[in-house]
Amino acid sequence: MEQMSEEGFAGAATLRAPVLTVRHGRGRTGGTTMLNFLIERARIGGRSVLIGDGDRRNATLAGLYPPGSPGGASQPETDETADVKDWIRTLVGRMVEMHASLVLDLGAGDQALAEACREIDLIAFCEAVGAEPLFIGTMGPDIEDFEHLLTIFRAGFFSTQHTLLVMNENLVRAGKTPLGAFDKILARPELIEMDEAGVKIMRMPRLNYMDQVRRTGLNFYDVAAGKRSKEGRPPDPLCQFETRSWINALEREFKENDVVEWLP
Amino acid sequence: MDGRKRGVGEDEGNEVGADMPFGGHGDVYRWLRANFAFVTSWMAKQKPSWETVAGKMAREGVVGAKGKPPTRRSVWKVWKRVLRDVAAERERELAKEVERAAQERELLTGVPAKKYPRDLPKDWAPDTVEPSPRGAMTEPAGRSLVPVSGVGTPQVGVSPDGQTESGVERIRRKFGEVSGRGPPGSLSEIGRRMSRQEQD
Repeated sequence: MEQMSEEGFAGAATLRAPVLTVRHGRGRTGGTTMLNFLIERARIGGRSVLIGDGDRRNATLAGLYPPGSPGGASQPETDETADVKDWIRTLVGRMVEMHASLVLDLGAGDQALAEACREIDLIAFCEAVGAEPLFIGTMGPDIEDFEHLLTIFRAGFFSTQHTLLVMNENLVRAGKTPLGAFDKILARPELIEMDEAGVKIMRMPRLNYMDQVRRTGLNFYDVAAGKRSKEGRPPDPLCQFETRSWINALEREFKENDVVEWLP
Repeated sequence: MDGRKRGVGEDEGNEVGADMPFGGHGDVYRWLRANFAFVTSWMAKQKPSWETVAGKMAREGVVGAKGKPPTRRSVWKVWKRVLRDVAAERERELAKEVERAAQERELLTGVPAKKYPRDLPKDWAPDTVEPSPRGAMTEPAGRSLVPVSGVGTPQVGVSPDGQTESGVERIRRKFGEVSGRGPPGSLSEIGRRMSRQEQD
C-alpha cells in the first residue's frame, strides 16, 4: 500500500515570508480544489493562512471554510468595486499584521476585482512588505479556459514571476487521455512563450474519489490517514489509497517544477 | 483598605472617595495616579526634587496622613507603590491583549495558537525591500505575457532519461505517462516501443 511520502505532510513549520496567492480561472476548472489543498497543506505544516473568497457567484471556498468559523473565509460585502477594493485592502493589511499568508480566490474574472487589483498594485505592495506574490491559473482541456487566462495575463493586473498554470486532469472527459485532451493547448505558441518566460506548468492529477472525499467532510490529509468522518466511519481503503497517491503526485509536481518554496 | 502594610507617613486615614478612581487609596496616591503622565514627564524633563513635588501637591490641596500636607518622604514612598501598580496593570492589559490577539489570529487563520509552533518569529518584521533589479516585474513587459525571470533562457529541466526538456515538454511527458504510455521502462511503454518496432 502506498505510504504518504515525507513531503506529503508538507514538512514542519519553517520560517517563510507570507505568500499572497491569487487564483484566477474560469468556473469549475479546479481552482477551489487547488486552493483548498494549498490551505490544508499549509495549515497542516503549521503555517497560517487567511482565506478570501471573492467569487460571490460561486463561493465554493467560503462553503468549505464558512465565514465566522475558525479559519473561515472572508468575503466582500457586495460586488461593488468600492467594497471589493476595501475588502482586498483589509485582507492584505491583515496578512502583513498577522504575518500569515493570504489565499485570494478571484474566481472567474470579475471585472471589479480585476480593476481593484490593478489599482492597488498588489505586486508592488508585496515587494514593499516582504511578501511573495503567487499567481495560480487553473484550466481544463477546453481551449476557452486557456483563452481566459491569456486575457488575464495580457491585462497584466497581477504580473508576478511566481506564476503557476495548473492543467486539471479531473476535467478530461471519459474516453479521452490527458495528452489528447490538452493537445490543443499544449500546441499554442503563447504557452511556449510563457514557459520560456518562467511560468511553471503543472498537472493536477485525477482523483476519482473527489466527491467521496468532499462528502466525508474531512480534509485530504485526514482522508489519506484514514481518520473517521463525522459519521464515525473511516473512508474506504481505496479512497484512502487514491487520496494518498493524489497528494503524493501533487507534491511530486511541485517538486519537479521547483515551486515548493513559492507555496503558502 | 486593601490590607497591605503601609509605612509611616503614607496617606492612611484619607479613605474618603472610595468610589472615585483609585478608591480605597489616599489622596497622595490618587493624585499621583491621576497625574501619572504629568509627573513622569515632569521628572524626565526637569528632574524636580521630591520636596518640590510634595510642595506642588500641597498647593493643590492634597493632604497626607492625619490631614497634614504630604512630605518629601511620604510622596516618594507612595510614588514607588504607584509605579509598581501601574506596571502590574500594564502587564495585565498586555496579557489580555496578547490573549485577544491569539484568539483573533486563531479565528482568522485556522491555526490553533497552542497546537502549532509559530511559523515566523515573534519579532519578525518585513525587511526593507530595495527596488527590484528585475525591472520586468513592475515595468510594462512589452509583448511578454508574464515577467521574464531569466531573459531569453527557456525553463529547462532534465527528464528521467537524462534529456533536457522544457516545461511544455515535461507536461507532455507527464500526460503521456498517465495516458497509458507509461514512464520509460514500464510495461506499457515497452509494449508500445515493441509494437512500433514491429510496424517499422
